[in-house]
Amino acid sequence: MAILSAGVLLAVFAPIFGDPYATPVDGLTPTGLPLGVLTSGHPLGTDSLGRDMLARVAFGARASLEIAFISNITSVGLGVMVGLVAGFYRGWVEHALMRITDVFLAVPTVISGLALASVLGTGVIGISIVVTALYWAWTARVVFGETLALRRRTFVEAAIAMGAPGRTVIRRHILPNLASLIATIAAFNGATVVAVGSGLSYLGAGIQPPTPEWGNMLAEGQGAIDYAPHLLIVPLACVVLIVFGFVLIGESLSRRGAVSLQRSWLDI
Amino acid sequence: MTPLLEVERVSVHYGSFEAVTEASIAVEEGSTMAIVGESGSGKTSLALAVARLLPPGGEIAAGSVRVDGVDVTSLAGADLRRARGRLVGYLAQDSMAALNPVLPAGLQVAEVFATRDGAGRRDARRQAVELLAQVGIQRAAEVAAMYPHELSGGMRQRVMIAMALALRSRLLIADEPTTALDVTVQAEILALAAALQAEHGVTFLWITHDMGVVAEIAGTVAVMYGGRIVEQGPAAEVFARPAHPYTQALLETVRGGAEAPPKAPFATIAGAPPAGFIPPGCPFHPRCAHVHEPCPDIVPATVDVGPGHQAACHLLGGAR
Amino acid sequence: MARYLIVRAGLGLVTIAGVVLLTFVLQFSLPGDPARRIAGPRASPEVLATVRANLHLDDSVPSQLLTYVTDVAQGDLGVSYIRRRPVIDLIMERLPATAVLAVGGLMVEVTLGGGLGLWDGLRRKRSRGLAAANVVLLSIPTYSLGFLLLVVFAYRLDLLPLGGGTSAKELILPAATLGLFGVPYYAAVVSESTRTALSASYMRTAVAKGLPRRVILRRHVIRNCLSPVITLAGLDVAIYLSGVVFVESVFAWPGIGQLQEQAYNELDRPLLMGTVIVAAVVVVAFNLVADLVRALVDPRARVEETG
Repeated sequence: MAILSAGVLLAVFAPIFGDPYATPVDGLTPTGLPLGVLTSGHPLGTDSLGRDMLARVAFGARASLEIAFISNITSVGLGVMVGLVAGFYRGWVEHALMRITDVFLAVPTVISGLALASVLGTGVIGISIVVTALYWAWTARVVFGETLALRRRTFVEAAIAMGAPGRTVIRRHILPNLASLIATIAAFNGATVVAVGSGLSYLGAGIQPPTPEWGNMLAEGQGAIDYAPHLLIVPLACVVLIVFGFVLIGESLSRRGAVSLQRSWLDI
Repeated sequence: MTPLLEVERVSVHYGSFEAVTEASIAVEEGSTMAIVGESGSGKTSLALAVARLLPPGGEIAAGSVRVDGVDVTSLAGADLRRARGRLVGYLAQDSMAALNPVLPAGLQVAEVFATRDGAGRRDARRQAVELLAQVGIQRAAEVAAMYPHELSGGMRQRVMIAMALALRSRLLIADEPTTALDVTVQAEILALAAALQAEHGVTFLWITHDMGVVAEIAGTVAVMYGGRIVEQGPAAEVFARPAHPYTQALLETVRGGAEAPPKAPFATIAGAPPAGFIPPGCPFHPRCAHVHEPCPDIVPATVDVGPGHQAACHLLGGAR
Repeated sequence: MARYLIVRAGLGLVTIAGVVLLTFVLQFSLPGDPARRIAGPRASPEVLATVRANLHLDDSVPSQLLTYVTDVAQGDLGVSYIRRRPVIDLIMERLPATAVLAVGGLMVEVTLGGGLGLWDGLRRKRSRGLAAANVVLLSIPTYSLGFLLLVVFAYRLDLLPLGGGTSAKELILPAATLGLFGVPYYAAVVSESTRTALSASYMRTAVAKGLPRRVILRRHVIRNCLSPVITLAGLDVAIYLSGVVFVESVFAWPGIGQLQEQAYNELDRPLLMGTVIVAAVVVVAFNLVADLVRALVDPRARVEETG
């Protein structure tokens, strides 16, 4: 688990200083067909236009991960804020915020993602906004539920009864208890966000070619499966690995919280 | 006549922790024995052991339990399942947790008839409703369709009793069934138990920490402390002539209130019952007012102090 | 219980209203002149003016909003820019296909996920294999999973058709792809609630009654698992339906997912927004049904909940 979180970090740093190749490297175009993996000079082969796959994947990492991180932070951040405020202050604030959350939860993500993308355009910022808009509500709902539960706990009621201002109570009592939940959410959300971001690009809604991004590379790769399977496999492996990394982090985080030593009565 | 329940030197362990050590009791058919003690005294573990309902992790490490002549401790597998309910019924303390929240109350009683007697659904339901009425539930047919969380504590407890009656167990273990109820309801349940015993000859093993309950329903009583039975005998005897310092102190805490002059301090037993660790020798010695030399080291032997009345204390003579 | 459902229905309506509002904002407050798109780049100013009048584009914003809302309420979702047909018709044509796909996938999800979860919940120790498989399943994006399955089963092994139509045989792969993605969630939920049920006090009561193992499982355990599963299904619908777009794209399944993708490529705003609204209605409706079913199954859910 820790190993793959390191893997995630590695992928982040690699493109930034690892591969200063210009993307459309007019590389060696062989007899019209892309080069396979492990050709000298092109460890991951080339694509149908002769561009080096390693470079494309590395830059694709940058694009995909940029979207992923930005969207993750904003969506979790927004979600936490909304959920927290709604759960803590209750009353009409809760109703208003929760209705808004419901709206965003009601529409299937990709369907509205396409709709939003048509409006907001492509590009890293655009897609990040789209993904954020799609996923903040999920976090908000979960955080809301947990805040409600926490708020009913005696120590919180005691603090409120003592006249502590809302903001202090939140800061000192509620947030620390939410921390592990938020971390878990962030991990799983990260996984989802990467998948969705690539997914939108795959459908043509996100980063457009020729800019490399794992999603659109996947789309290209599908077409070439017969003669150059590595065009699909390489970016796919990247996406899977990154998502896998996030999921593992999320799993290990969530397991640390709940240690249930439940035993079955059927065993007696 | 052989007692319905014979417990001989039973020890119950949870891993390395001895919850019950060498407990022996005997209960005659149609009577009520109360096992009384504070929390952690081992009374519940003993009860669960008798019912073969120890949770995973608990085991009967020594001794034997015979119900109606059957050695319950050696049963396993299908024999155990068949014996369950038929020989020993268990009435839990927390009726809310003991009833399945997604099934109607009546069904939980009726399924006994369905599985054991092979009764059809309608027939089983009819019998269940009859039984619910018998235990004092008004409008039994309506209640049968209701869910546990819709019923009051007292009604839930009656449902549990109905379930136990449906099983027609030879022995009914009541594990503090009235502790969570308010006093008026408690009185009703106790009255119900007495009536059932009078009409149907039900044998009760009643677990409690409340001496008042003991006084009201018990024919015989066994006092437990630190996993051991420190005194047992006919209730009247034990109340009149308590032999063990712990029993004496217990009775003092109950009696002191009514008879003592106003503003007299409550009688209490100094210290706290053992938790997680049982003192060597006589388990009561750290809190005993009469503690002397052999107490911390040697476990006192059980001696007779009256007709059918025994206690284990060095003060009574006869060390091991 | 009736009151509970009415409240939920009301909330659902509010939600849909919110969605409609959102689509209005997106559709009309953005660059790109809708009139020009409909009329074509070479239309004369008179034609443009007529189109604008028809679309009420010269009215004030609040008035446009009102027109929009009333239209939508009557089922008029506008006219597709490109296909020149009412949006609602286009969607309704495709909806059954997606519905079939969705139901198929749901069955896969629930039975496979539930079955695995139950199996895992009954084991003494959680199955490491299942946990690992779950993680892997969660990591593969839907579209790639679908594509790989397609390649393997249809292309290479020639076991199943390549798709394009809607026959039952062609349903297998897309439904499986759609459902497989959700299996880990259902398996986890069922496994957890099975374990909780098995270790609960009422389980001791059931054992004490001498009930046979099968009865205990069927009656006592499974019914306690149903409620969380239904809750999950309700919450999951929105995300589940989103997978529809990918699956339909890969398998050329003629449903609204494919429609949406085409609409995006054609920049057909009314169609895009219309699909969003319809999808939202479906989700809300499904949640209502889920609430109803859950109230039937779990009596505790019938009590009014706050928050």
